[in-house]
Amino acid sequence: MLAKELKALEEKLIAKERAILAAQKRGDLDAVAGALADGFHEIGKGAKFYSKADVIKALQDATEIADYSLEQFRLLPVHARCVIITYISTVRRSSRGNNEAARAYRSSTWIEQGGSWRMIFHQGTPISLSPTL
Amino acid sequence: MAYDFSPGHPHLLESNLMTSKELKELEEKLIARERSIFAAQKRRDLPAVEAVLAHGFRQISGSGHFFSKAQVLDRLKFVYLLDYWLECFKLVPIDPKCVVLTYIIRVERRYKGQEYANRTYRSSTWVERNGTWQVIFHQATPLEV
Repeated sequence: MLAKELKALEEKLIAKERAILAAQKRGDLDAVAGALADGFHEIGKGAKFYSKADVIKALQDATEIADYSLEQFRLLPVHARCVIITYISTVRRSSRGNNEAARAYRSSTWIEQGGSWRMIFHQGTPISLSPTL
Repeated sequence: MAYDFSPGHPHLLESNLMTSKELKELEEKLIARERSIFAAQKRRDLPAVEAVLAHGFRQISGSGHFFSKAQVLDRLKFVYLLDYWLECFKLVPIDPKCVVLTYIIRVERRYKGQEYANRTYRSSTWVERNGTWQVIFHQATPLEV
């Protein structure tokens, strides 16, 4: 893939990544489900293994997102129809007075299926202040 | 039964069909290779570790920090893997040339004279390039905080 094409793909997938969080914030879970491939899995909150159905169920029960930001995007090309995007997310949820922001380093694996790009795997790791082992 | 990697468009991508038997064989092969990475770390054979990592490899560590391939290999010089236990392997098929292998690992390590033990949920993204399977990405999420 040419550098120019890769840059265009990176911008497109970053926009899709942001759109998923925007959809979560406004509670549009159909839009979230639409961005995920059928065989999607995630290592998510509490280091648990989730299927696509598990993730949508968890989002129905999740506390509302008050505010979020995404930064430090990096693209890792795997092959022509598969790339990994990594970034840092800061999410503040509007739960009972607890207004603390959670920061995590995240990765999303995107694949092209039938002409459209969908997320097939996702993992998040809370960022700890002690950068040891 | 054939595993269709391309729901909705199987007619366009017949080469993307992998039978469940082929998938099972691939899973067993990659689990063995995943174990061999830790075996190599434990006996301090860093060239063997390096050979399994693809060009461009990156990692997000259990503390949520980003490392390049060079940084990972440099860090391994100072981290001693004393013992490890792997369990709960799951394969997430992506396409015939890429799969994600997930598992739980408990490790005991020594770093700067001090010993550490933890359990993390890991994923390794394996890609086939020129007939060889290598790890292109790895991430760890702590099970106990």
